[in-house]
Amino acid sequence: MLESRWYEDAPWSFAVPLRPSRFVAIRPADAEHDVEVDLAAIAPFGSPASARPKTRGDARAGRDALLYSDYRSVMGFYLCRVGAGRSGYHRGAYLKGIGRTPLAFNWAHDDDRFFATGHLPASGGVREIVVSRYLEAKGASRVVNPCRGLLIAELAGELRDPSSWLRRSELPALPCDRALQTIAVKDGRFARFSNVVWHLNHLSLFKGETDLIRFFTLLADGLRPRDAIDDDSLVPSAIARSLAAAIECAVDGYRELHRLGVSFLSVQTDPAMDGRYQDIDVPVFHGPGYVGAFGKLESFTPGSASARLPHDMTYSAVFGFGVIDYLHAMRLFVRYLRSTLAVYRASEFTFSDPERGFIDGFLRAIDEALPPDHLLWSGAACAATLKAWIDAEHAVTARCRAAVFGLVDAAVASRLDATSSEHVELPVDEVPLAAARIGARVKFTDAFYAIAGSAPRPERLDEARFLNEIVRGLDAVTDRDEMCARVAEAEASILRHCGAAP
Amino acid sequence: MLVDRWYVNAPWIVASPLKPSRFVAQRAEHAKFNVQTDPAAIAAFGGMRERADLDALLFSDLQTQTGFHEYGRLGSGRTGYYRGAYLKGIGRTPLAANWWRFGDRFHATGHLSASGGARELIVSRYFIAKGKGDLINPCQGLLVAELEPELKDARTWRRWSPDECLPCDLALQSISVKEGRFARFSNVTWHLNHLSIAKDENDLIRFFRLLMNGLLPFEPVDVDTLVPSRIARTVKETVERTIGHYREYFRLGINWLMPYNNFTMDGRFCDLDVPLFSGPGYVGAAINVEQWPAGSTEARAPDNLDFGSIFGLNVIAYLHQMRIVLRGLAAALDGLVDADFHTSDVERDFMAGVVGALAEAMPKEHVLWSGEACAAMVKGWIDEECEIDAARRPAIDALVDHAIALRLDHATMIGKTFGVEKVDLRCARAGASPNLTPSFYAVRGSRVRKDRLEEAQFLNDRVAELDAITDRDAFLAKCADAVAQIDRYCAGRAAP
Repeated sequence: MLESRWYEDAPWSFAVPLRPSRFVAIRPADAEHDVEVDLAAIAPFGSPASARPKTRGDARAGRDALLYSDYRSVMGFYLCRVGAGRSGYHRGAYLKGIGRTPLAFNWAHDDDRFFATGHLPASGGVREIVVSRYLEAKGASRVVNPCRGLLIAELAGELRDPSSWLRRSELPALPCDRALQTIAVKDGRFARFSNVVWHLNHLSLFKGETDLIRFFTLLADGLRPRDAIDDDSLVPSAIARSLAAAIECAVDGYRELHRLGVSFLSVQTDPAMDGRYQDIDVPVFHGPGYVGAFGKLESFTPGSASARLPHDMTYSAVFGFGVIDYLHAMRLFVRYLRSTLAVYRASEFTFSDPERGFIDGFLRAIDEALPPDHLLWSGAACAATLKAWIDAEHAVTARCRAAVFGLVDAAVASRLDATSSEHVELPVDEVPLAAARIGARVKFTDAFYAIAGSAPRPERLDEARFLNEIVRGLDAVTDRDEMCARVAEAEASILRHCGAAP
Repeated sequence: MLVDRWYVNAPWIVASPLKPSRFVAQRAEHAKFNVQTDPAAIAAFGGMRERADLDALLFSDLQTQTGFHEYGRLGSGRTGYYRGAYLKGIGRTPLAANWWRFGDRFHATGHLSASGGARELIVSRYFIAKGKGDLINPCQGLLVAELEPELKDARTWRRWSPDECLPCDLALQSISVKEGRFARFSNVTWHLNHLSIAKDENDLIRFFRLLMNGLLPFEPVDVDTLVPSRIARTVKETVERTIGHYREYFRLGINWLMPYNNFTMDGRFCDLDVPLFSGPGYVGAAINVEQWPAGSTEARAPDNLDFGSIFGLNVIAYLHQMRIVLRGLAAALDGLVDADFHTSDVERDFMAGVVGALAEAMPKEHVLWSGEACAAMVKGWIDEECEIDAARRPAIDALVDHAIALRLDHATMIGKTFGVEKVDLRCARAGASPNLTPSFYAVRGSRVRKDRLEEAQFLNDRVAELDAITDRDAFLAKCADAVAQIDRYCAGRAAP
């Protein structure tokens, strides 16, 4: 179990000083999170003594005055980002948009300007809220770590010129993003696999081996953040089973999102350990019941009658196919976990026999819990799963079904079997749905495309239409107080309107 | 080859803003290094208005020491590359995640103590005077300032010690200046854990290029003709060259406390602020003061001292770290061969080839992997350098065997007691936050020749003189004086 302030002693946490800021909380309870990073409080030369509490009460207050940003290692996807560059844990919550942390190494990287500002654009915060309330209305909150509230402020003066944080090709900025910024508030009881990888790379084994115990404890707690785990449950087989269960839970989450007609743009290379989708500021409300995708604006001409994948549309952009990226990320994680533990096992640390036995047992237990025919390792099983989802959700023509299944096989082969596939070219039809912009940046078509033969039933798009309208309406707001009021109104409206399955 | 500003585009580098500071350079050409970090210059929220002036930034390196992580130390927390040099003591960088951890206060202040700077300068000058400057990355000069007021109370940054804080450290702080053309294996390990290969970024090519350039920082490497066997051969030669450096440190009577991560990839010792001027010709040690009753005649490892603190034996710690680095490298490359990235067949073959070539270049009987070979080597060094009483020889050999068994052969930590005698040498303090005795101890049976300790005495005296100075300008003058004296006294002398 991850306790409320579990992150304070996590090895991957970096404590960051904060100061009061100028945000207004939509919910009064979130007013305590009106903060921003204060790097100036770390003097170039100084002693930790100045941050040292004098009493136990001071210790609590002192810790509550800090943000805890988490270091991450995402295998194969470095991109100059080492962790939470604009986010962190604060008083039990996870905040995004509180300013540049010391982990924002990209602050001087022109190429990564969108992720180097410290802020969460208003449109990102709005989307986090809308998708969270929608999933709540559908009884599906479990598939994400929902945004429980927003704080909103007028945009920092340094960001008023959008070209300072958007590339020319990503302009124009949405009206709300030219005027406002947000902080998203989520529950803080989650960890990421990338945190575990970071810890694995940074074990402290030279002064006694207790860090090995901490590693496995945090792994077990992260996989089951809400379950108390006693010492008897901290055994290799139980941890390995929890890992397999978390993977299966995440796959179920993708199934649920697919059923509801929601996808997330950002590839989930960095999922929460317990399987919930974590970075939810770019949801796509495309609606259920058809096989579709959105196009890359730089390569796909809107109105085209056919699309080449993965050239015009990436495989990840096909609704439902995000699960392939998730499984890919998990393969990398499990492989790395196994090989790195084996290196530690073989290296000259003064492990006791029980410690070596634990590592050996865990490696065996992983193989047992995740055998070669498991969805994680078997491309065939993954393809069969996706095809079953499609059959269950879509009424498609036989010809379309064959084409779509071919697409599934190509996507799985490309991502999970590391084969370079030929382009797949498929006829597409624009879906009659007025879509909101996909995120703050102009990168994708503002229309969705159904593969020919998989046309959605218009009535099944009602909720998607409703959600896109709400997002578009919020994107146009430029006044802080009006945004606060409209967001609260949108939340209530979504809960009212979307209470039943689409 | 690492070119002058090689670090700007290294993947493990983090840029930080700087501002002018209040240091005075010992050498006029180092005045440009009078800078300190400026965390406040990174606003909480900000966009990209213009490209940063690279010469106005500090570039600090992320480091990963597999299994040897110190909580909060992510890399260069008070150091970085700047205008081609490597500066230590310029203030806390974004990698000082320990900034609020009182338990790690000695490494969390951003400053380099004056005594640390003085030692870097003295030991560097000594190596240069002996014609051995290439065994280390020498300190080229110091900048000195009056101590930051917040650090005037030494209890806020210094670990407990029965000894008072050195006078210079109560009044002054320093920046040391070194050559910037070096990388560490911990940088490479970091890169290995953070490769960007998911989007065809060619990071594998960059990885192997940086690996080779780090191993051969002063030689051009033609990446186009690079083959796995060449990489493996270079790694092997580097390991052997570095072992040779340890041999030479032992011969000269200079010992370093902690080899881990404190040497460059090409084998030069680079963190020079805690040298021990123990003098040559005997098997001895500096002993952990907290557990050492004064006047004791028996020491116990690992209670009173770590085996690595025994002069000549810290090559074992170097080999230990290299085993872990190379095992991690092979495992990671093996993993990438199997992983689900779009690496080409050529890339997979190359990675597999490097793994195979490393095994071939350094087989099981190589000194890196064979504890027996390591023991024979260290005993050979002792034979060549020390006069040992025949009756005590087995005890000293047993000490070597025990250290190797413990560090390299997975043996369980078992105490080992041996007799010691205080060496007749006036020692300077080991460093600003010493946890070592102010004397060196020879293992009983290892005869110390007084005439071979003259240079060590001279060096300890120079250090002790600097430790006593509290005025900035007097300190700078004394540094210059010490450098000249070392050149005069040590350059012409035969090896001690």
